[in-house]
Amino acid sequence: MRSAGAVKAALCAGAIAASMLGGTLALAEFMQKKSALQSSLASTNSPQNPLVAQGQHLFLMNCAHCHGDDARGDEGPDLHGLRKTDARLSALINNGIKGEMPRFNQKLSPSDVQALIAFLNSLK
Amino acid sequence: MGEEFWLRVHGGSTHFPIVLLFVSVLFDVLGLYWPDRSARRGLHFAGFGAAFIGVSFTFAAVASGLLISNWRTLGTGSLLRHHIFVWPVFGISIALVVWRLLMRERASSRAFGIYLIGMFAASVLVFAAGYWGGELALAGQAGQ
Repeated sequence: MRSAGAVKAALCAGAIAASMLGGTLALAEFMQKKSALQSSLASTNSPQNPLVAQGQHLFLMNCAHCHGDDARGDEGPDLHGLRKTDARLSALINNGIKGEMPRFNQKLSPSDVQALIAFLNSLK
Repeated sequence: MGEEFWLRVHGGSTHFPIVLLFVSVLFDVLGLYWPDRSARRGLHFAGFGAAFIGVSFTFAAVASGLLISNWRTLGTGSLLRHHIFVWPVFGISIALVVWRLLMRERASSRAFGIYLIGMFAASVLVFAAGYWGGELALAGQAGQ
């Protein structure tokens, strides 16, 4: 009798937990799609500076696998709203961070770094 | 409310399940062996209370975590490793607390033993989630 009650309670608890987990994941999926749609609409509606566009391309090729395609952070930090001078950003990109981020001074030219900085500064 | 706010909410709220799920197992195990009967009841009550509060805070932790990760449920790298532990612990801990809420003190010792194993597994998983969350926080600080 007691074990039948325990099994019923376990099924009920499992169903509640599964619906909460499923609901959370579904809501997150929906919100992620909505946010991606909003940012793609914003980018198509605003004319983009060619230097920023070049920087975005360089970002996707070199930085996105750590900082995320949207630069919202992944293994590396979120790059929106950075409060750093261009000189500091340039030093960070060129020299990297020991044990955290590779240096790019051999891979990117000074004009590439400027384009990348223009893109980073365009992120709000 | 900006991202920094939700980052603080996440940092604050995650520590409740990390500590309380483990404390809940500790109280319940003590409650099984303590010699005094009324103290045993008190320890089990504290065990359930700790689990209930810990699980309540997982909702705040999950909501704030989703907001700061831009609604990503998996991601890559440390974020993926963090989520691999987060989602099972979210489901398991809710199921266990709801089960205990439904059963009150009617559970057999075998069923309660299974509950304790589940809660201990949840407390280990939440520690692992916290470890990878800490790695993400450290990576974020290095880039500031």
